[in-house]
Amino acid sequence: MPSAPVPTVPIDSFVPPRPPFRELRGYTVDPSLETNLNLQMVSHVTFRVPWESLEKGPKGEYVEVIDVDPPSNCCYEPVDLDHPRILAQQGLPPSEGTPQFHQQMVYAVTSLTIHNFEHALGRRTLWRHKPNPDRPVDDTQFCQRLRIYPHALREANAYYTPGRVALLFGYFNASADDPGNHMPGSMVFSCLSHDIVAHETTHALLDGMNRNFLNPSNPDVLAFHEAFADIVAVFQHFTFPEILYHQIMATRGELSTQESLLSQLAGQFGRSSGRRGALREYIGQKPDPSAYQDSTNTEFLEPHNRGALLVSAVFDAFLRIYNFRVADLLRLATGGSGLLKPGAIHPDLAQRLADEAAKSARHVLTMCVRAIDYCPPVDITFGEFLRAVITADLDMVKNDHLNYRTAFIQSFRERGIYPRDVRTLSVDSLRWYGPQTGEGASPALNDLLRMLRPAASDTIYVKSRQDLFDLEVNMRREIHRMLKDHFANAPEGEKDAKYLGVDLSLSSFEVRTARFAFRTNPDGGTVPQLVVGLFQHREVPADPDLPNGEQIRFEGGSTVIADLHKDEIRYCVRKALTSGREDRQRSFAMSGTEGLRNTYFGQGFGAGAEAIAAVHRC
Amino acid sequence: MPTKSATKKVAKKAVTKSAAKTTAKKAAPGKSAAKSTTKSSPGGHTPVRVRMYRQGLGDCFLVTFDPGGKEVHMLIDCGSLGAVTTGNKMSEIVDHIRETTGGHIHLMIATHEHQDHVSGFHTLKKEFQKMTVDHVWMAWTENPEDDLAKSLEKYKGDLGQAVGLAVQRLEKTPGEAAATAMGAAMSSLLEFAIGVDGLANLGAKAGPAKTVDSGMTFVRTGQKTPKGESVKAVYHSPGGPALEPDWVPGFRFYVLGPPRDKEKLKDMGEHGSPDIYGIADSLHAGAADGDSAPAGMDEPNMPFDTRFRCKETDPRVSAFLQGSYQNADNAWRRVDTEWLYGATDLALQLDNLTNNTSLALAIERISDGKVLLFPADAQEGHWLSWHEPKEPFTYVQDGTTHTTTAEKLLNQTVFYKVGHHGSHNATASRKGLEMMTRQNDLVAFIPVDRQVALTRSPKGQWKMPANKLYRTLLEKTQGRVVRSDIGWADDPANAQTAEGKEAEAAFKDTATPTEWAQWRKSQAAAPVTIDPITPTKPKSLYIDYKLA
Repeated sequence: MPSAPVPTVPIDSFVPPRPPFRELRGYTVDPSLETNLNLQMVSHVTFRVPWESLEKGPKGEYVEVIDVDPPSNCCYEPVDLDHPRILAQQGLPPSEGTPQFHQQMVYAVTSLTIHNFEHALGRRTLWRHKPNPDRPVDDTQFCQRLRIYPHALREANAYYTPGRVALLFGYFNASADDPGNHMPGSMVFSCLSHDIVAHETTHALLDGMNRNFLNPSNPDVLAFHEAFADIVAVFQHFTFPEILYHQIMATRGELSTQESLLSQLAGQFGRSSGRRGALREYIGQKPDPSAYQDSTNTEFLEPHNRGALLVSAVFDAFLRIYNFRVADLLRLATGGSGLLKPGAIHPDLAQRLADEAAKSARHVLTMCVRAIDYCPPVDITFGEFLRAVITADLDMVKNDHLNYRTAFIQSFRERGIYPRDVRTLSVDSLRWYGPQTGEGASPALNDLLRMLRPAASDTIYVKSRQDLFDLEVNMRREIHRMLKDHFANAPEGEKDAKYLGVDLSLSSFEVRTARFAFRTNPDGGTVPQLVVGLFQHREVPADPDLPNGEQIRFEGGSTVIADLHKDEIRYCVRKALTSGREDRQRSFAMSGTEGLRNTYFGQGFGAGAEAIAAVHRC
Repeated sequence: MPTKSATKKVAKKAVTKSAAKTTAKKAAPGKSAAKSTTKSSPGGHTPVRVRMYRQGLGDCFLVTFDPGGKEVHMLIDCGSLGAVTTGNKMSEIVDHIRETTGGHIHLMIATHEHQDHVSGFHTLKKEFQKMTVDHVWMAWTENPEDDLAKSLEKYKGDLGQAVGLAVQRLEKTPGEAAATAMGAAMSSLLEFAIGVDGLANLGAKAGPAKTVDSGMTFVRTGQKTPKGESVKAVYHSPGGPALEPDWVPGFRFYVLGPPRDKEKLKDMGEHGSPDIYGIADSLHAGAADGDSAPAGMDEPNMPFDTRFRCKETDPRVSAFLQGSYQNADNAWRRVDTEWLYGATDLALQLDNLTNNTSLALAIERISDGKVLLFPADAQEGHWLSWHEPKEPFTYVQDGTTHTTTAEKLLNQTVFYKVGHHGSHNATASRKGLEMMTRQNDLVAFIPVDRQVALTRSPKGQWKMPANKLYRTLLEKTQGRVVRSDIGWADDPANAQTAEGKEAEAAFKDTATPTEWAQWRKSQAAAPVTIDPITPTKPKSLYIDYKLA
């Protein structure tokens, strides 16, 4: 983050060091824990977010909180987190009745989420571009801050709206039927739930990286967005040492029990709205491998439930990894048997288990976040996400002595989640196609990569996020020019286009994304990579029997991952415009056109216009 | 709406006692079927004629048993949102009903409380008062004595009020195209429930006007027998013994729905949203505050106490907002009306719920088992409930009681009154149309005026009939699909007027010219008669289906 202008002071006067963190108090999960005797002591947590200079709002480098409340026709004074009284007591004390604390809470959780994401990804966050109403295809305008409206809706809902690059949070009266820990009819604020805020922030982060993940072309796409947002929210709990230790004590290290707070997501919101209980139901359950693949099982076609399946797979992988890592500790603590005596466990053991849990969680989260770069640019499926996780990890960690990859494969397999097109479920066959599987780009195309080295080194020294954004825009233009020229003029052009999944019979192709990643692997080396997203689309009739009827956008493309050290394209993750995919997408598109909403409003009208708002409405 | 339900309660009181008694009678199956003495068709069956009136986007069916013989007339609904294609006036239709029935209707049915089904009972009340009626049937959901029905009524009232408030609020947000469009779309939907007068009076203190409610109340309490006695409405619940009234010899009536199950009634299908009753409360509170915000108004419904709430002009926030929220460069990020978008769900839920209170009937001709299906506007959840009735469907034949199923009734259906003007969600596929297997004689009637549907907000969006369902119906019936607006379903290329061409444009690829040609052949052979236009009679008022 850019440093604040340092005030000019006499040369010899003392300047205190810049604080590394800003400490802000907040709710660990949500306010409902405060009134639960067993959990009251861990209901609050002190978030440590990276220090940055702030304006009122709060408004920082990445986000700005604006607390207008149109449904109640009023607004609330913006909090000044630099106020000495606030600084002196680690932020405002948690309070449901003070809007300024709500502002602090959303600021703290979004900042923390962004920080964790950047840490895993190894580069700075860019939001979705600012829309250009005159030219909808224009994606070259920089949008510096994500807007956060903590009180924009009066319903049990919260969502990210790409059209405004903003998070909207709702509040509502706890339902009289099942108020959970609340007084029936009392106000529940979605912006006070750590999980909901982290979840929505992740939607924004993911959309900033790849906006195609919001085009629902198969049942997995939106579910993936939901699941990924949940994964980030769930694993963020493990970065709070207080609650982790408490839960290890409470569950005697058995994190897999359903009672574990850590395996629950957004308790308050879930109970009060009757939604979001999904995850709780799936964790710790014996998975049914046919549920995911059964395309007639409407329960698992609904994005939240389907997403919960993916979350439970990742959580299960985490539990395997954690159990593997603590097995020796348990043996040490039990004289070799590995079986704990009944009763409380030793505080030292709890501390060590907590450390291992935190480490496992961080690794799993990093594996998932890193995999985003290895996902196909459009039409993602859970199976492809698994391939992305495995491939990304193979690139980073050569020696998998803790069996992380096996843990992922096993957990996914038990839920029936695997890609359509692999022969066996092994690390090797799940790895994406590349030179190691006998396909690759021509030497001429690989040579072109060298021309991108200056741009790569520029990104290391870039000053602001705006500059980074502009640099990526220029690089996309450059790569497009290069590839177009190569396809048209080089002797290998046609073959390379085929390899990259570009259909030259279409009038154009687009370079949607182009970014560099500098990742540090556990051996201490750096892997400089170029990640390019190619994109193409054509209009096809939604119903093949009605060639002039409603048209849908059929999208394809590929993610190209190149190693800039070796000047070699390592992987090409293709989603070509094949007829098989077209049929699948078409039948999926048709399945969504039968509701009453469609009868009256048609597609893309009102709350249904933005995919996430529609999915979240509850 | 509190005012609305209050009035209804008073109105309903009068009939309740005897109504409950009459309902109980249903348990005793009729015994007159065997001793039918009516004039029969050559096959020994009592003929029946279904007359679909062409009064626009709405339902009005006159079913006549034993036409030309000992005629028994049954009127199902009389409503419309307007007729553009045929230009028929509702008064012409009601006059024609009176002529046909000789001013005496044996059975009057109002299927559910929607403008497009009951408007005529309100606007032409005077004309209806000139006729006499023997029996009135309604769904159990209209029974003022029924506790579940009362709670549904309250729920509908609250939904309606919330939607009304949202519409008003959206109208007050000038200059935002999206908000205006949303308001228009919601008021188009709300019109079903409260009518045009209701919409005009949204802001009125007394609450919206009660066109629809008044039409319903008139059917329920305003009918007189030829002897001048008040007719007690009978409220029907699904399942159990089929009705065999002795005044319609040779026919059985199976009540398929509405299901006595709040969840099924509210079910929006897999693409619906879950319960959002909470918004209704909040909308109420928010709208109340938005108007004047007197201190202490609905205070528990406000998120924070008065210390924290400021107006945008308040010096505590004004400078901050000017630099951010109100900044002209950032206008694209404002969220002033975003919260109201949730209310579109409320509007859809209200529409869905009322549609699901439809009295759905399967009328079986005992002598050959052929079925006429009248599901009114039942939505998918309603259809599905037919297959799992709490009480199985039974009938008495030769002194013994037999059980039957909705599937068997659907298998025997020869005439299908297409639900909800041909929208996609009102004809179940697997557990509905797929089960209508009499492909060689099945006929489908769609009461619709596509030109009217397309003018509703948002313009051109209302899918009535829905393209895919239209196609499936045409296949299932081998082309025997009749629409009240254009008559026989036809190749859009044959549309006569420019408006007609435009309205049919969406069906351009629904079928090939060869298919249309083939279908025209089976149409010609079908027992359907369209009221002809002659030099002396410039209007076609109805279309008949006859089961000989």
